[in-house]
Amino acid sequence: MNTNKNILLRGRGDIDPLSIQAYVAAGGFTALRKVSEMKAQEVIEKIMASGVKGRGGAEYPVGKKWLLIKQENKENYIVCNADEGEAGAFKDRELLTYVPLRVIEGMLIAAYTLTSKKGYIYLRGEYLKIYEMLKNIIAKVKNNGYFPKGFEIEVIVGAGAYICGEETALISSIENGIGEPSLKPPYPTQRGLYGLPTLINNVETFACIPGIMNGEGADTKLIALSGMVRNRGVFEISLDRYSVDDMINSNQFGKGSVNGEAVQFVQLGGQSGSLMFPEQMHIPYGYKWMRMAGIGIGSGAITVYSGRVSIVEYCRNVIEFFTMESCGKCSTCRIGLSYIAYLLNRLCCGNGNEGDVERIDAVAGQISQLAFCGLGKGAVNVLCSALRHRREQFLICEKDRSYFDKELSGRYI
Amino acid sequence: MSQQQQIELSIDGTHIKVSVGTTLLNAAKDAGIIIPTLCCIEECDPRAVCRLCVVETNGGSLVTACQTLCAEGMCISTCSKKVKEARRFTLKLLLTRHLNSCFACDRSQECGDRLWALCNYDNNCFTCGHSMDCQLRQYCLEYGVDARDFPILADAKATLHFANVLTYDANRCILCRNCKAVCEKVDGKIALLGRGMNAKLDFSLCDMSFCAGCGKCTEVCPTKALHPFDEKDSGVN
Repeated sequence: MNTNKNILLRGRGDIDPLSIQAYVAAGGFTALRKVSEMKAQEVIEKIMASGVKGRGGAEYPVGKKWLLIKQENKENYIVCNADEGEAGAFKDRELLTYVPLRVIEGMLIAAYTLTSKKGYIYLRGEYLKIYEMLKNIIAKVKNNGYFPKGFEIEVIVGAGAYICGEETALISSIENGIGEPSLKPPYPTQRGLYGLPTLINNVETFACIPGIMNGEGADTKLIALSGMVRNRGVFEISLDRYSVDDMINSNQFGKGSVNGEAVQFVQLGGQSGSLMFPEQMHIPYGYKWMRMAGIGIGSGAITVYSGRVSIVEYCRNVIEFFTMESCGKCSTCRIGLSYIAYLLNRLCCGNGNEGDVERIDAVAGQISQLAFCGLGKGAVNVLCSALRHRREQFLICEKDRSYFDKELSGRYI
Repeated sequence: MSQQQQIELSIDGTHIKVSVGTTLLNAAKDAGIIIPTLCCIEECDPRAVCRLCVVETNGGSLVTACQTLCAEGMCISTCSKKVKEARRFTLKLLLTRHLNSCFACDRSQECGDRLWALCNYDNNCFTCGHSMDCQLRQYCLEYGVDARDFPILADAKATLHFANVLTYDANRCILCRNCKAVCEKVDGKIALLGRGMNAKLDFSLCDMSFCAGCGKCTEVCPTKALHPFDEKDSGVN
């Protein structure tokens, strides 16, 4: 029945995630064996040819990143970014829980290709269960002799700061510094961890690598479907094949929205991603198509909001989240977000002043071009797309002060 | 070798030549154009946290001048409408978290360089005590920022005194971290706690026995939130 490809999550639920024998029996580590006989240049060319893009959300071509490190021709580090802090994203957890060996294989391929010194897995603080398991399995793989000589992988647990998913902040956190982003350039590929070139890739990106080496391509993507749909979870889909509408309603994936209510909007890629509205939901889910519509896939999270959800209150929630998670380094993000939160709060409490919507729009626009790092710029994405497509909802709140009193009963948010 | 290489760029229509590795801020300074900044001090690396020094590139995007290096053929505008608007916005944001009693006077916008001692109006601006050497106030006047555009969102905090060396008024601090940067060169006693809106500077190590007492941190404070201990201040608290 399921015609979908199954590359990244192959073996989920069927094989024991902690058993190397089971993984090898299912075809594991064949890619690693191939790579150990290939030249580094060939490996990188193969990744470039697959066209795989970073799966953490920034969509940077993976092959290019590896090549940049190789060209530096220095000792280097590799880091697997498992700081999955985005609300609504949980695909990395799925990978690390059910097929951790595929991720480790991807990291080892990188280590062989780039002759890296050491590897790190930067694990989200909340994933404590995975931590022990990962440590055990890394030791097992090492004892079985799969590691390049002198190479090791260390698992580092973050303290739960959202900003530490940003690569420079992540580096600072591994170095026991303050989890704050630093200036780019130099990029981590030039000067990263302890001053050496550092390859930072997402968990899913590393999981893609064995498949590419085995010639299976990289045209599948993990999506984390959540929110007001009947069937939630992580699914592997072929890119460019389904639309978001399909994913919500098809029996393979979402099985329709809760209570069959009309979908109001869909949050793509976690809270720093963009919103998608019903009129856009026919667009095929793939990098090219979505870019043309001005929407980013991001990390692959798809959170559905249906029924009586107020988009104004949703925006307030998102901005409050980012106000809390801002690192406080640059004044734009630190103060700007709290100012928007203040204005949105005022709007939601029925105390909106005339011109507040204009004000919010102007402040959001300034933040998106002035913020220091991606957090501040991404924080207002939701607000900007909401204002672009559903401005009238904001204006109603501004004009009608009792709007929320009338509408509040029976609301989800 | 490559350091000697010269590159040419234009700032506000003036063509200038600088050596490779010069920041836009320094290049502009050489050309006699002053770009406002609150967090850039000579002896420390740029941190680009105040976001006030933004300039517009030929692509129309805003970059911070303190950190961006000059590149061949760049065309920079330091006073376009977009730049001015962005700077005004940043100043207003800073004022929402700054106890700006210096703006309490109705006429603060027009007073400019007037000799304040002769001012006939309500002298609210003097409740601050440092309004004369406050860079933030100076820029606000320069850019015509009215503090009343944005509300003040900060709660009042107590002024802290440290072992007769320093006085720190968190109400006026804009968290530019200049003090922390210079202290790192000497002592490294100033710490940073919390994140987001709860981020704050911590001076608890700046006790007599730890602090070298060089006073550099007070010199670089743009709003004089941090200043040498003053007998007069301690009574107010």
